[in-house]
Amino acid sequence: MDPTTDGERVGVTPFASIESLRERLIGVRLPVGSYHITAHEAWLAADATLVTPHPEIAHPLFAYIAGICGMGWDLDHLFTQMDSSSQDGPMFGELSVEQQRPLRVGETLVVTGEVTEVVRKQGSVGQFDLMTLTLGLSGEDGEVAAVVTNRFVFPRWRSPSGD
Amino acid sequence: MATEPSEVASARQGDPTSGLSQPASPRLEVGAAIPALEISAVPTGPMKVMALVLRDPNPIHFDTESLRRLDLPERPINQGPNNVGYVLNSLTAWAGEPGAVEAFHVRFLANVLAGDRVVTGGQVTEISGDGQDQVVTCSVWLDRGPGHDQDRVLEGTARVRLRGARG
Repeated sequence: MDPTTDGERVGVTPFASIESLRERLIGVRLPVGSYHITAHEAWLAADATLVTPHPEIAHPLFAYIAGICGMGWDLDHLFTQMDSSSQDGPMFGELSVEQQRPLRVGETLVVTGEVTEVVRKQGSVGQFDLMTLTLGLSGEDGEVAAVVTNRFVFPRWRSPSGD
Repeated sequence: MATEPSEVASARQGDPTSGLSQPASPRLEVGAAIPALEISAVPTGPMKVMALVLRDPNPIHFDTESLRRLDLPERPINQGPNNVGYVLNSLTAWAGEPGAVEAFHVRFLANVLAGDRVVTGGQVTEISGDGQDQVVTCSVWLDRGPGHDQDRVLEGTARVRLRGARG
């Protein structure tokens, strides 16, 4: 999700008009997925952020990790839905997490998702699209544990191909 | 990691999750600074670990050869979530409780490369009461580079719950 390409390679995938993308994607719900917070991954992820892992409370990053790893689309599929690919240099633009409670090591979360916004903007280096994906994490009791909102940036350095 | 790199020692100081240190009592007033955490040189090993945890196949986080092919500096690019993690760790250390961060919102502004120095920052912007707890809203950020070359990598806000009456 980080920029992986230089200017020449950005925009290799033909993409539709913003009206078409919005009509196609806004409101689309992802297949329901799940994510289990294993003890070893909780330990490793916390350690990777350079903090001593807690044995019971998952690092607050786990709302993001559970959402992105447990959602019903993988990232390649998500990029394809936006007429893009990893070769086009999609980026991670914004992240919001609202937790109802701390996530626990060892619990399994049900992950639901919906595309909530698609917009096209003009930046200093060219046109780009923003896709907002809202993910819900529910615990084994069925109660919402966290809501995660990811905003992805899709560079569009050239004109749309049309539909 | 079996061995803790010396360059991250400052990031692990005051770690409330270790159970070995006493977190400083948060100074509760609007405008108060969140104590900074500094990583003098972002290490590459944790990027590889996070790539596995995130199931992120992008080689820019672990394969310098792929970076060379892309005409990028041959220093792996840290995952955005790792950068967020440093900021969250500063809030958790300040609050003294691993589950204290209730919400956060960040915008990613730039990449962090292996070897970069980064420093977290934050400031209390609002305090509200909630029974015996206090709920604190903060502006947060992560800066990269020393001195005049310093630039902002991410910025946003966070909400932290401080258990029990304080201040």
